[in-house]
Amino acid sequence: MAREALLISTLVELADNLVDNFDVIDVLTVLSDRCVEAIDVDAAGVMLASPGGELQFVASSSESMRVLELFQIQADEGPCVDCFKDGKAIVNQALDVPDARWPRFTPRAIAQGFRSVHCLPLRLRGRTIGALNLFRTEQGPLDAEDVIVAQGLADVATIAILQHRTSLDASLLNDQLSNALNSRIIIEQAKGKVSQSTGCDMDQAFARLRAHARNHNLGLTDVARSVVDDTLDANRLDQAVRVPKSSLTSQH
Amino acid sequence: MIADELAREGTFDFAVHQAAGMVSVQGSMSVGDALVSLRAHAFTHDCTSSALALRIVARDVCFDPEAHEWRYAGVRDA
Repeated sequence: MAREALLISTLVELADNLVDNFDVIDVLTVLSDRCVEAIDVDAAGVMLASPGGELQFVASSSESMRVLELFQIQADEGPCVDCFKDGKAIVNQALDVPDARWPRFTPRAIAQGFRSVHCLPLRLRGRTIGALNLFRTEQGPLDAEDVIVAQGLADVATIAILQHRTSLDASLLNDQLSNALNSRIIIEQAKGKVSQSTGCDMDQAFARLRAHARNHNLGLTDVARSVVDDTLDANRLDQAVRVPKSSLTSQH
Repeated sequence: MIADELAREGTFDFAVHQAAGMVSVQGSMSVGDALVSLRAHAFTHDCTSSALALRIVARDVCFDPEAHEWRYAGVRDA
């Protein structure tokens, strides 16, 4: 599908999700998935600053540990941290040479097959609240159009996190950032329970939580919380069904 | 030191939370209790919660509720 069409369907899908009571982790996961499709990258993820100012992972196009680990390292060092601190995009950062700025991050990223990384700030009126990370397994620059698309998606992510206009208030913004991070913790705990109960891996556990939330019109975090507090049996979650990547396209 | 660790607001290490979820099922306990058990075990065995969590997620270590102890599969080093 032409990229324009994909982008429009992505924006429609996101707008459709941004109704009241939406689950921020779910929306950011959709956004990460769409980044991989609309831009020429292999993994995408969103990191948010905790109220203490530390970056934490909240959503990714892949739940695999190798990607998550890279986010974790970036809580301390890496292009994402620098992008966040300076509020400026870092694009076309090749990983093939050791980089003195990121002694831990660069070798790990290479070992895990990535060759370049791009980070775009999530900005709100002069304040940077996090960053969108894009990893590529091949070298070579993103073209200028890709960068514009990526920043546009980063801006959509910012809107998703803010949820309501009232959140322009600083203390409320901090609450919302904390909520997003706490949601992520609950989701990780639920993934562990599902994985142990059903014998599936963490990726599949996440897919099942998501599928169940979608099928029953519930928030992803609410489903995860129910699993964690045992009001929902981890064995009784709906099976994840593999759907075409862009479900919207099939309707056109 | 362990009090500090336990009092802390909770870690953002995904593996620790995934592992706590797994241990809660293994030991039929709440996720909160599983987190405490995991940290206590790590502390008394001179390893970090993160390192222990990775082994739990890799299904290399599990909690045996019958014997009320942790079991290590194989002889692989952490």
